[in-house]
Amino acid sequence: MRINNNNSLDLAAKAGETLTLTYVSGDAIVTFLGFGQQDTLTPGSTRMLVVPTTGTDIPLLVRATFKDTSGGHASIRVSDAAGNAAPFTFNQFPGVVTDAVVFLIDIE
Amino acid sequence: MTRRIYVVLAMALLLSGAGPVLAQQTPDVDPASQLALKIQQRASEIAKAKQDRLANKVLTPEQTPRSTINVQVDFEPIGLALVQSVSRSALAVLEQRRADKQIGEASGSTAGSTSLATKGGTPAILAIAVENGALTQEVSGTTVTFRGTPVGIVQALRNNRYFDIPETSDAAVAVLKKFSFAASFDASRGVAEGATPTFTGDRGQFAGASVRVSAVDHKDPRAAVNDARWRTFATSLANVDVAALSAFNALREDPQIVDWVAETNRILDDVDPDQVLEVLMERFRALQRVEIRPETRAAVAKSNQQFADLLNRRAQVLSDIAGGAQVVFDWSFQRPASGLDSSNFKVVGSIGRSVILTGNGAVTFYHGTLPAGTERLRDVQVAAQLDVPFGDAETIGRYVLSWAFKVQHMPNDVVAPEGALFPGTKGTIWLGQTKITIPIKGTAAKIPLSVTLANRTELIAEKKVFARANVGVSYDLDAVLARFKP
Repeated sequence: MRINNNNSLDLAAKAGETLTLTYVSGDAIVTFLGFGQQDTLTPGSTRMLVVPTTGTDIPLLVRATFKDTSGGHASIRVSDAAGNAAPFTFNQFPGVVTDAVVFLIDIE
Repeated sequence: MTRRIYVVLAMALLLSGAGPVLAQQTPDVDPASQLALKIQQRASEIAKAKQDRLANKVLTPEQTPRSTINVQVDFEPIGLALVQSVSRSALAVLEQRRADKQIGEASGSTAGSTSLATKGGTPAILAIAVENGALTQEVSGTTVTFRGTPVGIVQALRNNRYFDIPETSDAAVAVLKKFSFAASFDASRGVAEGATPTFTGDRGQFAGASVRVSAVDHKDPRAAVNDARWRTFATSLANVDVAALSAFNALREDPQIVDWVAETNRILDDVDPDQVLEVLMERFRALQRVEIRPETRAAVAKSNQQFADLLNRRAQVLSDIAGGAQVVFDWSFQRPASGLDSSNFKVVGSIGRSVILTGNGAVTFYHGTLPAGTERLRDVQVAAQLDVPFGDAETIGRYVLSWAFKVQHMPNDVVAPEGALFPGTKGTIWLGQTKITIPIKGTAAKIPLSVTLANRTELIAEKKVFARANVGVSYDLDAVLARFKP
């Protein structure tokens, strides 16, 4: 896997490669949808995502929903077996309830 | 007497004007308010990235997607802004906030001598309260109280951003966050009689200090006891994410949106960091004129509906959590203007949702050498307070109307500093209080106004009704730090 354009949300991976989505730390509710899976993550938990053999810019939506009015955060990471990692952190702007981003993974 | 009448009249006027807003939506369930906050957040992130570039700093891979407007990060605010009513309302909120800028925003807690009962809340970093009046004492004074949480202050002094305050996922930090402290100074001490009280912060004005530990806080949405509620809530997010991903796919393939994003970033490239918010407001306003595809509009409408449902479901969870219990232990060292130093041990409990009931039980012990035959126990106190919040944080502000009752029993005469006794002072004091806490719109300040009735004071056991009017101001630095160090 590699990060394109110095952008954690803009990734490229080999067809059939297994990536890992990790909820590294935080106190927000983290959910994800993509690569044929949909689930909730708890801090420290991971999910394996297999890159399909065809397609371009495969989307992976990750959402952090905050429990309180301010101070919430969630650090997540998409990584590969070689140790390459694309980190992304949701830091709650005071009053914001939920924040969602979409990783796009291009197939090399 | 005249002052009391003014206080009562002011309260009546405030109440009569506040009533109609009770039914309004709060910001956390209002999509327009959420859109306004998201635009503010994105303006802050983009401006920060611009400043970093100007300082020749290289953006991190995490920072890069937040440094421009793009569908991967902004599909939800773009979707909300495509609804005319939501967009207009959000931009009106932003215009109002811009008019209020550099002042702060209201939130926080009060503490000190305008309250009969002690509340369990503490600020994340630091709060300051200045209060004038007297409750059980016979002489009015002006007390300045600083209350803070050591973990929050240490982080603030390390020049961290407000959002970098440590998280409860760190076990040691989670324990430390349970502790807070307070120091009070009587600004009327050390000044000439009749002179204006002046806070100097010197030892002569030191009136007391306290350490507080939160033993039970089920009202904290992040407390482990509430995890089951959040797990149930999380299962309801499946439809939200499905609709959001459909909207994302529609938006990124819609040529009008692609053009709007490109044009927005082109304009942002040419402006100074302090102009970013203004540009974003204009660009989000311009979304109204963008002719998107019907399938895009349909996908966005579905996603917006799910987004609104998410806000309502989360608000319901928080409403359930707000009914949780809270227990706090508090130790206070008191240095009165007259009499011996003492320690007060207090337990504070509260429960309630829209109406909050707080109860206190406390005992006070003398320090130092006591006259022969005098017990170390100074007094036993029991207090209860009912708080009824009302008003809207986004319009007139969040007011709190409170009624409190306190009983203070002194089994012996009060000990004077020289080791003598104030004769005839033992007995029971009964106090009743009505208070209104008024937020100052657009600021982090609040004004508690209270009227207290008592059957006697500590040193005057005369059988008559004592009436006191108390006024104060409290300032929560948490809100200020969030404003200036996001």
